[in-house]
Amino acid sequence: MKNPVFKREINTMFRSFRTFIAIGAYGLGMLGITALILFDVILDNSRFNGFDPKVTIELFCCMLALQTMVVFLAVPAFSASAISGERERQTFDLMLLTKMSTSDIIWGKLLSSLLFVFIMITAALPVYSVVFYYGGVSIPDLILVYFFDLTYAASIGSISIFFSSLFKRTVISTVLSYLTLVFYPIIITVLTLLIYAGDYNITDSSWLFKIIMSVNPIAACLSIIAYFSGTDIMMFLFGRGNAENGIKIWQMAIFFNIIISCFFAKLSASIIDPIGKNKYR
Amino acid sequence: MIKIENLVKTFGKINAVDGLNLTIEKGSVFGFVGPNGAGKTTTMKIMAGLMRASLGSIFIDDVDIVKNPSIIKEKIGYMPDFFGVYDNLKVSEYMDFYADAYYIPTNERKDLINNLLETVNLSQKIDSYVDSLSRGMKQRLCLARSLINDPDILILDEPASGLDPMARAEMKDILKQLKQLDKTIIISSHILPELHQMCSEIGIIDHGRLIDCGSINDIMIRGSKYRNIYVKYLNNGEKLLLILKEYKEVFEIKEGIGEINFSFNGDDLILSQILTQAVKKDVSVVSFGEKEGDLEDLFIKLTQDAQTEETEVKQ
Repeated sequence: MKNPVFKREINTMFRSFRTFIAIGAYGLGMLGITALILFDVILDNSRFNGFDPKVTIELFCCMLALQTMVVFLAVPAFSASAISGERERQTFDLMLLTKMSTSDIIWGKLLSSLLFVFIMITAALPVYSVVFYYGGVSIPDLILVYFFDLTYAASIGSISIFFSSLFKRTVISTVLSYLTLVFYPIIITVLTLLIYAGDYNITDSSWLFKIIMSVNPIAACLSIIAYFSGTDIMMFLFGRGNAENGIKIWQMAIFFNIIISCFFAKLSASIIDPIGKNKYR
Repeated sequence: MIKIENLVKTFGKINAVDGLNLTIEKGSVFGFVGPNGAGKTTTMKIMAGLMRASLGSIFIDDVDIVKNPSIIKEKIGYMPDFFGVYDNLKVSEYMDFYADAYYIPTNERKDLINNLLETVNLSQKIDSYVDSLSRGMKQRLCLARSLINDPDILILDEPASGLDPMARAEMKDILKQLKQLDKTIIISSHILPELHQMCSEIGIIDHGRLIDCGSINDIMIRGSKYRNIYVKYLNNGEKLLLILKEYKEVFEIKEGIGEINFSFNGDDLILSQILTQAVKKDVSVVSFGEKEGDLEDLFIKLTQDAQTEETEVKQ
């Protein structure tokens, strides 16, 4: 990686005590929750019904949900200060003076946030080994989950960096990032419910339905959980319907996340460019 | 050569820079003087590519950098008035980051960084964390950073602000050293006596407009209508006072202990007559001479004149 911002961020990231606390806390959290589920579900099942491999899929889905939740919480905390933090530290102008383009700066910041997320979720990899021990989930499944979460982290990170570019204060950019990321899926969910109220028989794999669902991170997460459970999101949620023929909602969500990331990164780069063509004169 | 033509920068209804015209010769040390809010920093930021001009042009060797901003990153080094440093980096890492950001090849960086740190007297701090440096050292580190792309033009916005006298003297020595490297240096400062010592030319700016520009001596001559004369004596000061009052060329007489200062608008012949008469009347003159112009006084006078003119125009 040739990006100077990325190199510097990585260099300093591992000097910060905060990084190790975050990674350690996440690993321990995953371990604790997995242990609880293991004792509660797997041991219960094996005592009374013999061992059912489906239980490991449930465990895997719980871990996926937890991991996605952690990504949701951690990424804005790191990314929302990407540009505003540089402004507050009065190092931002010095960076703009260099030969780096504003896109280099934004991508360096975004990729370093992603690397942090990657390292954090990779630190919990030994916990996933429990799932492999009991079977039912393969390594490609795990890679898929990682890829899904990384694209989700990229979209969240780019939105947070966008707010960080727009506002001078980190507090404001952090609050707005979280508010957007919390209310956006809620609004989309309400809209979906309004459009498809009472229609549980969506069997035509409508593209409109898929697009609306794929831009909703909650639906995308449920879709991937449904996929691992060997079912469909409608079936998973309501016990009826079939909306995921052909391309799955979570697959479209990955594509959507990449588009969102590129769009907001480009927008942020344009915002921070002090002499850009579209700048107010 | 840097040529600024009709430069305008507006923020809403306020004209921070209002039709600035200025020429700075290659290799000169140019002092930018003006009160707070005069438009110095805005002009410097436009020159450094950190702000877009609303109107006008800045030519560096006949190329308009407002239209070709990529040239700025090649030719200009800028040290802002307020700047931060990455506290969790070592001095060498800090410099390496900026060398990397200017895409300087890795194999050239070590020597370059060592040389620059030597120039700013920070070689012994190469492995220290930036966090541990004093304010003066951080200022010098920032100066080294601004030199990393070997710019032809160095823009320093208040380089000595917030420094103690010792650190200011160090900074002044470094700037003298840089002067030898044939770089065009543009400095803004409130510490006018320092500019007086370092700059070959100054430009006085107020309300975004250039009030006067040229060599300090020329500005002094243009700005001060009268000569300031001092006489130091041991006794018979009252006699000297009477002599001075006889001359219509003498006014604004100020008495001190063993010293009289006055403004004078005559020639050297009349001055010699005053001195001869004083000696004849038994005034024990210790020294008699013309005071050098005070840049600070001149600056205040010029900016006040400009304000008065503006008020008159508005009325």
